[in-house]
Amino acid sequence: MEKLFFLIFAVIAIVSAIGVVSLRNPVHSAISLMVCFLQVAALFILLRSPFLAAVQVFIYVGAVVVLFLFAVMVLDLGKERFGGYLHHQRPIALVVVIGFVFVMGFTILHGSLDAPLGNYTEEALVKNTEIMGKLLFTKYVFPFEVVSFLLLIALIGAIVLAMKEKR
Amino acid sequence: MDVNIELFLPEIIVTIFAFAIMAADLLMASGERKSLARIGIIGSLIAVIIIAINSEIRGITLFGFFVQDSVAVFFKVLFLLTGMLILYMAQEYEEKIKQFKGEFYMLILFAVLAMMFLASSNDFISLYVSLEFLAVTLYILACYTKEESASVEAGLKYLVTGALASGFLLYGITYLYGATGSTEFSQIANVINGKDVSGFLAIGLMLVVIGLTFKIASIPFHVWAPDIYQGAPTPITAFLAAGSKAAGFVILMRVMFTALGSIRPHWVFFISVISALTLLFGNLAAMPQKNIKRMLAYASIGSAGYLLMGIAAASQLGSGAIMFYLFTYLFAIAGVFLAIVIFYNSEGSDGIDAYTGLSRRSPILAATLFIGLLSLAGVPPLGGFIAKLYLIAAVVKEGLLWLAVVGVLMAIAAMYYFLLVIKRIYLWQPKIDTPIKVSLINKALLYGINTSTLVLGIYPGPFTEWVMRIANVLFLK
Repeated sequence: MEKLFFLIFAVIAIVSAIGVVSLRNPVHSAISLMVCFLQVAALFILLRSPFLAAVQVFIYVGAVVVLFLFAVMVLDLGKERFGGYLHHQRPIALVVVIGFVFVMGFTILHGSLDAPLGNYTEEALVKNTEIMGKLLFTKYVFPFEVVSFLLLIALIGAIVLAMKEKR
Repeated sequence: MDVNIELFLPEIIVTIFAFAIMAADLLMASGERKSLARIGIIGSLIAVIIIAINSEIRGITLFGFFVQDSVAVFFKVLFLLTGMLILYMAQEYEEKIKQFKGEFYMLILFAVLAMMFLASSNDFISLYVSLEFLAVTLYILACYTKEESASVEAGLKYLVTGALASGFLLYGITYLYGATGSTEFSQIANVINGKDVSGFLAIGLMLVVIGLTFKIASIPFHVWAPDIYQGAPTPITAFLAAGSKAAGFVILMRVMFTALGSIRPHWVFFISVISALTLLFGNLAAMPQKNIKRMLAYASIGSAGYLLMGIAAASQLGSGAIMFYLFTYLFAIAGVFLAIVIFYNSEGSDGIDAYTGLSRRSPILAATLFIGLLSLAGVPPLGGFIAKLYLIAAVVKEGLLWLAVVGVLMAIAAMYYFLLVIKRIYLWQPKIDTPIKVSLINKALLYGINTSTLVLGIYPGPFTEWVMRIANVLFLK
């Protein structure tokens, strides 16, 4: 049963991801992206991570995609015209991608994972958010702080690049 | 709580000074911004002094995410030195950036901080977030002269390739995590020690290496380098060449030696091939270049090939040689790029044509380019020669003779295209012969950098012994 749901979500996620890059209308692309994010949220549920799933929906679907749609609306973008910039990359890219998929598929089919899987106690599922929060501020405090630096710099950088200084 | 502040005191100092620059920028008139660079230089200097005082303090802290060992300390000093030189270069270059904003200096200091975090990363999670932190600061810095389309193009290309590369890296990390059940380097080493190499491990390793080649600008993620080196503000080009590359190599050393060292027979061929292809591409493509920054970009791709020889060797000699190479490389790059900045400030051009007859117009700039470029090419008795010699010796010792042959041949190629520039500078007649003014501080700095390159070449003994002792840490079990 779980496998069936996984396959459904995964296939829709991949199809919509292809849609994001191949649809020509930016609004369609953004909606396709939203579908993709929702599927990923569903996959997080299957992986017993309700917190990540909620964050995925709130931040990506709720904020990022809506922001995209706003930007598209405000800027009045037409259909994309990047096609002219692609010269002879298509056949090379196709060969590389097919080769990559082949290698990955081969390893996944023939490989074996012998690493210990995480043990999901009832508590980890019910108190998921609480446990995540505690871990972020204890064990993972260093990466967490580095990410906060990263976000600060991204914020400052966006302002610096967009701002015009008055003389 | 597993927090030992003594271990990451230098990082705290750098952070404080970076925020101090941000605050001081608000209070200062736009004409006084050069003193912001001085704040940054003082901060870096204090951090270096603290590292020197605390040189005996070693250990792992912050729940195993942060390691302070000799390798980390060496690279932190290297990054802080790079940061100081780049900050100095940036304040020389400041007038050339229209609508200059003081955040430039703060971002440089934050990039140094990110590199210091990278040098201390002991876990794939802290590695990845520090790498992204560094990447974001560099994306912003690369397109800082946003009125010039070349700079915006540089920033955009850097962002897109960087995002793709970090996708590869992250995908590889998930495979390694799947295969070993851990993200910590030493734990990964414990799990895979003595076991067969599963396909998942091999794919993970391959993807992680491919993702990291972006930072060091080697094949397959080398395409960004020429455009970005040419388009970015010159101090940032120097920063990418000296700092970002060193940061890439410190994490490659940690990942390949500490985490995946026990399966070296499985990756040595892969790395050697990347190394050889990078050497061939970088050095051969540098030949026809007309812009000096673009030529140095190809030369820096070539350098990544040499440094990868040290990774392929995976020995104490190899990693010591990498550290020595990066040390000499910093001085060569700093000298050459400072000369380029001074020349650009005076002439407004980076074309190699413009350098014709430079020796008659400014002997000091000509001498700096002479020493710096020949050190990059690896001509005795300069620092670059000793570094290349050690790297080639390291691969020969590990039996990779064919790679050593490629390295030697490409050193000759490098000599050819650098000598073309030097011929133009020294032998040709200049079109205009007004002398180029070089301020006293710049002169002193250029003399200092040139002397360092010479000293590293003529009397390398103490330095090589020092780096070999440091390199030993990576191979202690």
